[in-house]
Amino acid sequence: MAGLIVRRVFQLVLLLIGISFIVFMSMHIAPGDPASIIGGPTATKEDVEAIRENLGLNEPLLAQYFDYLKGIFAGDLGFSYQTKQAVSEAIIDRFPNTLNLAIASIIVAIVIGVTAGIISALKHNTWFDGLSTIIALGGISIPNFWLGAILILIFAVNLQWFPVGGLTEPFWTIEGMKQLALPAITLGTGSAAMIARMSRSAMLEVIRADYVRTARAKGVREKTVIMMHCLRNAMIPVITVIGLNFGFLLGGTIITESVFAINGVGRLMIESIAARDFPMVQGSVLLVATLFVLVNLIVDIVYAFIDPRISYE
Amino acid sequence: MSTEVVTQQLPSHKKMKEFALFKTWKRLIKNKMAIVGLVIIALQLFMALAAPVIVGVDPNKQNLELSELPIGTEGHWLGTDNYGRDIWSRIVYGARISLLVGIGAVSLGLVGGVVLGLLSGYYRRLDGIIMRFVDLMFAFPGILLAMLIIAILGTSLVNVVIAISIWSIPTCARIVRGSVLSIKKQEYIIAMRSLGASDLRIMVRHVLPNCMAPIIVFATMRMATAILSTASLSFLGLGAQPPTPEWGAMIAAGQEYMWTSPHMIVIPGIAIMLVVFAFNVVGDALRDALDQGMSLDK
Repeated sequence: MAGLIVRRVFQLVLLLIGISFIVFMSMHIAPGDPASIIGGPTATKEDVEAIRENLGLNEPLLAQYFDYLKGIFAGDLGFSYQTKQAVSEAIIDRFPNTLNLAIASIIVAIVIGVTAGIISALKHNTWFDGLSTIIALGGISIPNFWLGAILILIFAVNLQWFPVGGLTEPFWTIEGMKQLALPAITLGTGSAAMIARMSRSAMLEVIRADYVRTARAKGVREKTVIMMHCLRNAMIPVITVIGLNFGFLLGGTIITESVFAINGVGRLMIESIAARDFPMVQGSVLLVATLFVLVNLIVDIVYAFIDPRISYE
Repeated sequence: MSTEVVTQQLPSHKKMKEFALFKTWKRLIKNKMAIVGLVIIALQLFMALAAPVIVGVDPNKQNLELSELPIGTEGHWLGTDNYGRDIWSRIVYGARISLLVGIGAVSLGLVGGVVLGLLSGYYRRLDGIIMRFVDLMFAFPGILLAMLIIAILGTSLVNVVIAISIWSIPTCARIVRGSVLSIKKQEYIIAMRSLGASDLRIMVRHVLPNCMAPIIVFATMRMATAILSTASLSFLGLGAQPPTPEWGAMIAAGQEYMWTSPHMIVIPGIAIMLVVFAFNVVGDALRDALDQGMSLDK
């Protein structure tokens, strides 16, 4: 196990260097000179040259990359072209909202997905199974920005049960939970559908296994068979799907934050792309991609822990 | 029974292929959901091809006197938007855009993915480099990679096609590589090599055709992802720009008016959902059908 962790962490470091290189290069491939963008339309040639010198843009590309890497380790991701605010500061300000949203969504996805998947498998080939399979397919196909707008229309505008948007209150307060409810459902639906499909097929496979038949033949109570013999084994692949989905939810927050006007990293990214504010885009992309690979690493390790049969040799 | 008789009874290679395709098709249409999906895709294709014939109205023609007409209005059975543009005609023309973007993004992604996958699976020396590159691309959640590419290229529908195609490359490369690895060990490939066939010929004429089943399934499922992502990116203002009648952009424009004219967002949303659903179920059914159908012994 220790070997696996060391190997995975080593791969992660290589991956992070690769990510930082791609993100760094994106600024150099993009059309437009950063110095001219910062200087604005009124800047003279000398001003632009001074900015270039100041930012180290006259240095060789590799030297600039190492400077960028050094900056990342020191928590310095540069300054916004638009607001001149430090990128790391802007991201730290907004990150809690993104994380809250991602965690709330994965909770929604697990509760709905696992429950629906297990009941579907236990009631295989019944109306419930058919209905939940169709809903799961619908859940994967539904555009979540649209679902968000429809939920706002029904539950915020017409019924007025939830606020229309924003995430300003702490999540542990009633108000905060109300603010999180619709965005979490919006973002979690797609993942819930995927988790439901996975739980159903994993459960169906396990239910037919010989050791489950043996347990039943021994006279073990049905509840114990399901909880102790089926669920434990069926949940192994489901945990992988949950982990992978958490990573995707981090990416998905970008859209949901826009629909619900939540001040998170995703919204920051979109605003920055529209304004061609590259340091901001780079910082946000770097953060989300790093979290994504970290989550995948944790899933890999957890997976090996809960299933001793797994070997990554 | 002599050997000659047995040889005569064997059907030709072409006939066997036709038989396998026929079996796959039969299995596909046995699946009710797949039929629903195929009908929706056929309808979208019809709308895309015959848009000017189906609707006589220009999808961008504004008439402020007719703005925000509800569903069921005579002459505008799906209502109009805030500029008085006919929503039905915008939906029909939107079908064309969504199909074109989907086909464009998936085809480009397939070309890149198939080339990388073939090279990676066939040449061990290239495998390590290509697969590390693929791993690196997998480190970005899909939509994020697309956004980074759009951030570099700028916001437009063409750039969305490029972004989604690049995003499709790693998955496709991995699928093709997997198939190539198992196919290249088959005896007929070894036989071709000993006959002196060039690597290119073996890859294109013998390996690639045998990887087609997973590629077809991937392409179908990817159409769903491409259409959904295009709509999402256009909704965020990073794809189609006004007044293009793109479904995601229509929802973005309608958001402001959803209090008074909810049909402005409801209708394009249903259109996206139906099409994405269709490609998803057909992809699912194709996977099942090809799994069993392509093997002749079953």
